[in-house]
Amino acid sequence: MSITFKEVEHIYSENTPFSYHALKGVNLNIKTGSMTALIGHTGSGKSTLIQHINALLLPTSGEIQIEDIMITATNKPETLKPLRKKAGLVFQFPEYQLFEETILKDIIFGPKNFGISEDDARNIAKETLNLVGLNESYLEKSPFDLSGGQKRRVAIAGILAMNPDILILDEPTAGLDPQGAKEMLNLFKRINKTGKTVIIVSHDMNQVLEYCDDVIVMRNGRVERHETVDQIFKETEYLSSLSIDLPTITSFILQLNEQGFDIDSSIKNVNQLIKEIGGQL
Amino acid sequence: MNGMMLGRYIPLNSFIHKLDPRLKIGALLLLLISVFFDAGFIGYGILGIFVITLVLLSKIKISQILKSIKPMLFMMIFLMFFNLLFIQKGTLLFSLGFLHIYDQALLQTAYIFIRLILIIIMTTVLTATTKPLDLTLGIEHLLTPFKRIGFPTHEVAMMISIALRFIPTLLEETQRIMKAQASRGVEFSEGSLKEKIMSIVSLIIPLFISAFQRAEDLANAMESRNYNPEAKRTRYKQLIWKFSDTVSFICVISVCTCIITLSIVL
Amino acid sequence: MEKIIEVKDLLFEYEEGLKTINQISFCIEKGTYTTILGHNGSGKSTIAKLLIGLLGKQSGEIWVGGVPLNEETLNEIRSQIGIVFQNPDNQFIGATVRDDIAFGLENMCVDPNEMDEIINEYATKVDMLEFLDHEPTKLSGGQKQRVAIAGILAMSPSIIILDEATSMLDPKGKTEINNLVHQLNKEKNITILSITHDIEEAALSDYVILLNNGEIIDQGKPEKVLKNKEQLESLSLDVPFAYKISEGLKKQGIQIETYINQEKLVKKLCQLHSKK
Repeated sequence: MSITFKEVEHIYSENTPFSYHALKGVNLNIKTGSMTALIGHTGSGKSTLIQHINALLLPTSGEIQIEDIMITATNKPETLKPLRKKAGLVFQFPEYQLFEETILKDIIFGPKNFGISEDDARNIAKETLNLVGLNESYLEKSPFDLSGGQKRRVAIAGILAMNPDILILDEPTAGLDPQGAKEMLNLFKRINKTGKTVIIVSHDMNQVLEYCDDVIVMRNGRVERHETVDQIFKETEYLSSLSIDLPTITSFILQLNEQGFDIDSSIKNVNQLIKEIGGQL
Repeated sequence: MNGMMLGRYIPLNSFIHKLDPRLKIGALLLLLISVFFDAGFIGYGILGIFVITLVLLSKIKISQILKSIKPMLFMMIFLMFFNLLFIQKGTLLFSLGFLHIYDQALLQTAYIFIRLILIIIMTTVLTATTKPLDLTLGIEHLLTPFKRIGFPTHEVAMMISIALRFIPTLLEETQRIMKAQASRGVEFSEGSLKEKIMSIVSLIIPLFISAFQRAEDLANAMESRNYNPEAKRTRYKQLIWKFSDTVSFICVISVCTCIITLSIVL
Repeated sequence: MEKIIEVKDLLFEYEEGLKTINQISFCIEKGTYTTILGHNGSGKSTIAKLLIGLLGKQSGEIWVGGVPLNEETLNEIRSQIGIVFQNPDNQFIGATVRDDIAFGLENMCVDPNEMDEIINEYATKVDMLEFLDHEPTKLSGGQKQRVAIAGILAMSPSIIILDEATSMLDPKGKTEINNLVHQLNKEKNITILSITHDIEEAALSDYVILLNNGEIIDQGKPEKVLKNKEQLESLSLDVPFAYKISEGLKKQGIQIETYINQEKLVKKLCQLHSKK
């Protein structure tokens, strides 16, 4: 499902002393089935942007098209509810949205709000819990007895259970240990492979390089780049002007190249890099 | 939360901003008391002019003052409406079915309206011109005499200042959880009573859990920085009473005395 | 070398029979940078809370600067150790940067007239001078952590504990904090104890303590601990990037030692390349 932004502006608290211009003339087209990273500094407008995709925020001006649904400044809230289901948005630290007594109840909360029957929702809950890597024995447990990483999986299962076509995640691996982060990203890759559009807000360029196809770069409320991962990491000067670190592997290659090596900087895989270095020694 | 003006500090550099918080709190208390003395329209006229002068001196825009009245408007209309109907004194002005409006009711309602407006504006001036922390400090100083009877002045002041510090953080958190639950299909403004209760529960429980977590973290951070409520501490912020504070205090006292005298004479 | 922290047979249970910290012993030398490495839930944050007496140990001994930790010495030890916690928001006590740095000074009964000078000095040290009157909601996570460090420095501790202090920060904030901490370690000779799951950070430290299920699995110089790939992987930890590359090259028959430090590896590779 394609996502299109046309000249989207967003101003918070317009006409007050606290007014803040968060999105400035954003034009975008995110392809159906892609896995896109959204990068940029804190305050660059990333959070504001993603909240437009499921219409939590309406644009101050401009329009957003999500498949057959058009979002403009004058939309009535009730026409937008289907969008919440279509585009599942996982906020940062989603474990803080858990509130039910059992994991089952928490996961089916979303689907039930969209009118799915209790029985169907239960089946969906079982499936999604498996999908996020927890077995059925957890269904009747309290979500508050879980570890931090498990809580997060349950919270994400609560969004996946609504079966969204678009999955948007705001820094889904923040605070996880490397193993937890890896499992989480593999999960999103699997979901992406089933044909769903995945958008991840991330600060970790290693993750972006390894898991994403496209990158959107935001700065001061504007979309400055929308390119493939390979292209963006070639623009080393641009990225350093944004003080965005290169992925470890890319910066390592560049360091070697400075000293006389000649290695293709778009290599993403450690084994391939080892072969390449070995060949040049 | 956005655009909410009531109780918000507006960083400007005005005469009122620079006054001692102790004076401002004391003055507010005195003025609040005098508002409830019935000194007729002359009295309210004097108070009104005084309050307008305060607003002008504080450099706060009139539009911002109006905004602070807005959230209270519904309550005010509600109150006034009942006053109009239930006070049955003086001469009957007109009646419509079972509704009877008397001239005294009209007068009383007008008084209530003026009082409420004055109270809101005065409070707004205080909170808009005084940093929350200075307010706390002022309250702490004014409460010092009660220390002798075992009142935990310092603890109360610390609690207030921490509460003030975390209000914006918790408001942000509330908005975030509301949005997270809205993403799961919760509609906070619509639905049956059962659905409404459910949506409130889905907000309150996560909010409490996170607030408790924050409280624990904060307690740890404070303790690890050697905080001990019973031990002696110095204070970074020192309040200095200036000549302008004395002059302002005299002004407030005279206005209040004037109102109270008027109300007794009339 | 002088031992600044000594821990002997430390035991802690949140619940009866559930040993969060199980009989661990270690020493930290003055002026070193030590990392406690472990995945989430390994008990590493509990150690920090035990060291500054936020949690009471069941048994075992803790000495800080030669002083045994107990009820009477609690204040003395806390003034020696500063701790930066994980969540930048929840440890910001003051209404502004200025007030937050002052908080510790107030607790130490510093004369209010001297506070401004101290505040300015440490705000400059962490590069937050221009933000002195900012409220926490207007600051980034990295800036808040820098304020936390300034607040601690103002109390002139000899040890700083970082309890996953960078895990909620963006890469820029992370780098800033790491650089600042390394600088404090080198220039002011402040002992650093960093609790983390970042293997690259551990690779740059002087001493590594590897923790799992409340027990110390291994400890020693990073060159020793971080070269044990099987062990790291069994604890769901990553292997340093430089290790992966140098080991891979070895397998290809290239004569190279195993590295854990990227900088050193780059140097070595370039040396090999130019000799060719």
